[in-house]
Amino acid sequence: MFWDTLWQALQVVTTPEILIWIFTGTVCGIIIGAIPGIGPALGCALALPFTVYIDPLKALLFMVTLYDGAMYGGSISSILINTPGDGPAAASTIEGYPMAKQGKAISALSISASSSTLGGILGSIIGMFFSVFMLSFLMLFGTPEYFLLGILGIVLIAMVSKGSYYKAIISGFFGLAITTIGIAPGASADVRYTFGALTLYDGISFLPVLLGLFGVATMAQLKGEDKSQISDRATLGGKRLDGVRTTFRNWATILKSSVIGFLIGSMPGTGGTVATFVAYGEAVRSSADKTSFGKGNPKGLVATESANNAAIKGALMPTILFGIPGSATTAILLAAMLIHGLRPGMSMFQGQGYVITLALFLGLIVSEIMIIIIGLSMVRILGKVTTIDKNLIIPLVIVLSVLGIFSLKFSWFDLCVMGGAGILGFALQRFGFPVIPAVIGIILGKIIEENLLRTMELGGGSLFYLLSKPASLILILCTITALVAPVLNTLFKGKRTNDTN
Amino acid sequence: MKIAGTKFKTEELLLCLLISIFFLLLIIGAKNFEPTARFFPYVLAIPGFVMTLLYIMRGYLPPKVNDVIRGAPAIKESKELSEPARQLKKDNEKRATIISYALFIAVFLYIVVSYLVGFYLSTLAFLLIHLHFSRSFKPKSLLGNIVLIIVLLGMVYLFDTAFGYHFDRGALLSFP
Repeated sequence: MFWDTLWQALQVVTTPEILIWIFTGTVCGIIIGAIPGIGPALGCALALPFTVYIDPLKALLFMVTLYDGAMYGGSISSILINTPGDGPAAASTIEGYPMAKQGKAISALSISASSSTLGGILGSIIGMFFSVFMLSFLMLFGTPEYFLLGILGIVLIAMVSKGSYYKAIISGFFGLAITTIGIAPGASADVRYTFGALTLYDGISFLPVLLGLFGVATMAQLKGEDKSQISDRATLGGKRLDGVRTTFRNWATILKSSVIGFLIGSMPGTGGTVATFVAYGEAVRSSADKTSFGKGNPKGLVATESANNAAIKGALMPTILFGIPGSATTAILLAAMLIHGLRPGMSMFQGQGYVITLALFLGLIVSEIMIIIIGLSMVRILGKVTTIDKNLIIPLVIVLSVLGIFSLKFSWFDLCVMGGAGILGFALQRFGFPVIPAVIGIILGKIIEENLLRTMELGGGSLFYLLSKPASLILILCTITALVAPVLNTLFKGKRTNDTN
Repeated sequence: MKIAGTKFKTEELLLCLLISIFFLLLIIGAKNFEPTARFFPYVLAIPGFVMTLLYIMRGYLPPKVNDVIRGAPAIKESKELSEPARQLKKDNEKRATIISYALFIAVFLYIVVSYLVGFYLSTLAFLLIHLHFSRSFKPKSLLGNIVLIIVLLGMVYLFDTAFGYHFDRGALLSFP
């Protein structure tokens, strides 16, 4: 069955139309990733309204390849100007920037392109291999487990968010609470908190909120920063072939980092940033000459770049399997899936859904091949992207956000929601309230409530039904542990400090 | 502003009050719903409201609980800086915040003007005003500015035609 579906997916992915979408996604991603301050999450949020009216496979392929391209693009600004485009690219500055300063920028960029490609291809293969066993694994999960998984996802994201865990939980509650506006799911179909306004009957759409939180809020932050030009770039020296040769010489590092990237990337909340630093640490640990790290050692760059692109494939797994996004970008990908009527879970691992899942991984392999071609042939042009003036980027993002949201429903109310979400997102971030738990709450809220009500129906109106299944029990234990662990950690840390004093 | 010995910025306090009022409204509004429809809002809003209030009133709580609630401070006070440097940093932060909020005002004005005169004129006005205030009208960046204006007006045209005609609402998109 797997090989038949894989063949079908391959036929779909290799049609010229799909290849054009993959190419467009990859190129847009590389450019977006290379511009400091934008990154994959904002890029995907901006692209989302534009993909609503195209068919699901093209839309999802466009989005995931944009994500993939942006992950590679992030390394360009890391290497050339020591400014990572996003979190996962931060590790590439450790070795990439010193290489650029030594006059080997082109070699470093070539290592980045080739390692990203190899890591990404390996990650896709691992992802496809795992997908074979997922259907029988998913059989263990029913309505109560999906409800608990949604809660666990938000708790895990809150746990690993930057800033206060307590504030992250409030942020998650806030996001979930927003989804209670509109017609209630279930038999009652009560109209909640609309104050008689027809526009609120369908609830607050998550697209304007996403673009407000990521697009407008990020641009406001960028506007407030001092520098007009983002940065000056390093001189482009070195050779492409040297970089590619170095990558292939470190094949063992690529193999190891790709597996690390995939596994860590698949854990909700950790994402690519942790994966790249762990892969880098492993490269240093397993190296004989540790002193050269941090001074432009290509092996470190190979490790971070291959882990970075493999992590994307890992991050896709919990999103497709359980609807638990591991990061802001995968939350937006989940939103794209839901908009196109694709529900994460069993449906994505059987029939036409499985074709889409495998097509996504195959599309990512094609995207990786495009990355190495574009990355090696257009090194100099891509270097210039990093010096685009922020005063040109800000109006571009704002106008595209406004047009994209308005074109969805021709709703002025949605535009106001976007502006309001922008101010709220900006204020939340300013005072250390992580935004991602709120975003995930907004996306998962309806699903969580539907599953909660169905669980209660199954239990005859009681939630004790949750305790009757082993899988639910495990999830409850995991959620309680995740909720309590940071609190205990803070309390015991305080005790330890007192004892030391 | 200080509450029980804990220092808050006015904006932070306003934000927390806004969130707690939102949760409170959910709790009050849920009374009138069917039991199944009010269960989820209660599950979220009651702990949400209590947690937000505790955050504001954390000064009254024991220090260890306060530590759990506070977590890592969002804006770290840089003690190692000298007084003039700290003042300069504070002024820069204040300036950056004002600029950021000004951008939000500009976005809302852009939406209002779009409603009144359509997207072509409003987009052009938004771009020109933004570029003027960001002092981007220099000979060096003239080409970039022109390209930006053409690209974005082209995007409006694309929406107005391709997307607009798709819904038979092209005219509305440009001139409501």
